[in-house]
Amino acid sequence: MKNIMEKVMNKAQDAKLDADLILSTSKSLKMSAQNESISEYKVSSSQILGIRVIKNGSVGISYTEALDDDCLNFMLNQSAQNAEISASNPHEKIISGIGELFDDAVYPEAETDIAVKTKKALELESNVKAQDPRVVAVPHNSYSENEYTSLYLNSNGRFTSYSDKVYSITTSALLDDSGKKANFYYYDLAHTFNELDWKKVVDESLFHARNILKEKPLPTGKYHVRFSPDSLKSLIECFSNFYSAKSAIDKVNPWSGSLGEQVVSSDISIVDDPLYEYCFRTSKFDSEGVERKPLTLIENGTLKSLLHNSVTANHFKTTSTGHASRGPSSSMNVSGTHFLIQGKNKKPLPPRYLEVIQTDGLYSGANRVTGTFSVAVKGYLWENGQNIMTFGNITLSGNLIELLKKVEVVGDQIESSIDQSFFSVPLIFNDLSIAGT
Amino acid sequence: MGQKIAHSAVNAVDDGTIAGEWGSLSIDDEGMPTQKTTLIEDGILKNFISDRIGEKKTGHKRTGSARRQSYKFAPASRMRNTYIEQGNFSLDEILASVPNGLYAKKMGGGSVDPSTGEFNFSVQEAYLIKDGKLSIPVKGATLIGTGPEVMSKISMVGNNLLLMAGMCGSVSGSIPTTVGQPAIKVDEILVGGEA
Repeated sequence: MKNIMEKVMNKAQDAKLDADLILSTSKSLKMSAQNESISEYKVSSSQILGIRVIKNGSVGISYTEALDDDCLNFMLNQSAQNAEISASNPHEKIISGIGELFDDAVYPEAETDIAVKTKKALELESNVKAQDPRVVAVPHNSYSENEYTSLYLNSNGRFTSYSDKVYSITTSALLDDSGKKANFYYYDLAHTFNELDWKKVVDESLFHARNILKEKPLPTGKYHVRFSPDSLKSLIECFSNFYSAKSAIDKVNPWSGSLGEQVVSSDISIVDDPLYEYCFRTSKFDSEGVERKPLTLIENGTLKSLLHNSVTANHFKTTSTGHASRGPSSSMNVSGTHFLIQGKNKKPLPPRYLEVIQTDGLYSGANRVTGTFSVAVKGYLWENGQNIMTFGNITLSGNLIELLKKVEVVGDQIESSIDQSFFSVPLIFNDLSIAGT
Repeated sequence: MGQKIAHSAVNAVDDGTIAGEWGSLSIDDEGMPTQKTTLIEDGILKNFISDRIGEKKTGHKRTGSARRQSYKFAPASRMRNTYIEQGNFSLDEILASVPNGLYAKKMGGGSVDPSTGEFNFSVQEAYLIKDGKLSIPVKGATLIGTGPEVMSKISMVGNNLLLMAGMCGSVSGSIPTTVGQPAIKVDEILVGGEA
């Protein structure tokens, strides 16, 4: 594969084009069980090669899924033509780093027989059904494995290679109790088959679905709220533009111009840490071949940095933080890796608070420029350390900018999202609006 | 099937045959000519949309609704041009019947759990209705509920049917579809926002 990239790069350089190439390949297997039989068995593979050229200060992008000479030549010519009609951007250049970097995962595990995988996929469904007579279906139920590679080559001599393998299982429990329905799904990810926790996904989906069956709305009013790690992750990721230098250039980042200022409670700090010891593995370099390292975004409430690629770094006259994000067919962006929210204060838990375990419709109900959001939520009401009821059929609204300034309680035990991509100490926010009964 | 699931004023169809509409097709992705499928007639559930596997599993006849984005997806039963047919009331007549309510003029995105019928949608443009007249604009509202519950609470259907083109994403990829409805009056629905 590298030979093909070098062949295209040589032609690009013959045409006096600065360029970089991304080649992504994947092989995957997915199977689902429904009604005691395998309802879906899908084996697929894909490859896509994309080129970004810079011609007279303008960017052109093109890609191909076929790697014969005709298609490669067409892709190269198309990218040069696209550059001719693009607006000039003096900040977008091919980075000057040279040398090869490799980050290819190898897991010492013998291949699991397909018969075993099939049996386990079937058991995902049957184990959910066996544990509660009210289970009427297991609508989300699958086993999948995905092996992928991403190669990067640029005209200044940078080459990187990243590959990994991910196994995942998902199941859900749809319960029906006298016409009242509840559904909750849960999943697990692992780099090896034997690390998958099959029992946990069954138990967790049933545990929460059973609780949701008993859900009631809450009276409209203001509440203390704690988000589960996955719910908080959804909220923070929905407003990822707050940390993005690209969004600052696009004038849709409310924290643009706030570097060095206090933007959140001084009780918390936020780090983007691709190398965090408990995180799910991610590439050690970004989509421009820049090596990644931990980046402090917020320190004791003060905004210290935004996420940069080389384009935003050139714009703001700083250096890339290793957060370039680009697929073979897409334009340059920035994205974070693993967020780690740390901090501590000594305030006691409030006697009464809501624990949100599920948010629905966040992206449609959020204004990413103003920070306001309104979202349907489910979860538990805690009083004096006791989980006293499950709530649902309510909406929660607030403003993330104000919310982060008003963190009331900061715990000290770091918790992880299920996919191990987001980590936070427990946070309890004050004065969130609930619309219910 | 055959049971009353909505107010008798509600008639809903999924129609792949409307000339020139965004969600129309001649032949579905399993080779069957498409058709107009009546989903709800006078509030009574009449048909589901179905594909070949759906027919085998459930017994509901294929409706020319098997669709997929590309060769990378298996066909599934998917919507085409789905809409509530227009009724007899003007928008002014519907508004005049509301002493205290919300006029959701333009909807935003949202999410639906088909297994439970739960949905939530944001409202991009909305106004309070006071004593049958439009009042102040409001922002940040979301509507949540369940499909069956809301369908049973539709009490008036307007005569101003409007179809809108869009893309629908689901198990068989992203496909062009049309959705539409006239103005409808829902007697009660939970509205979220700042308390």
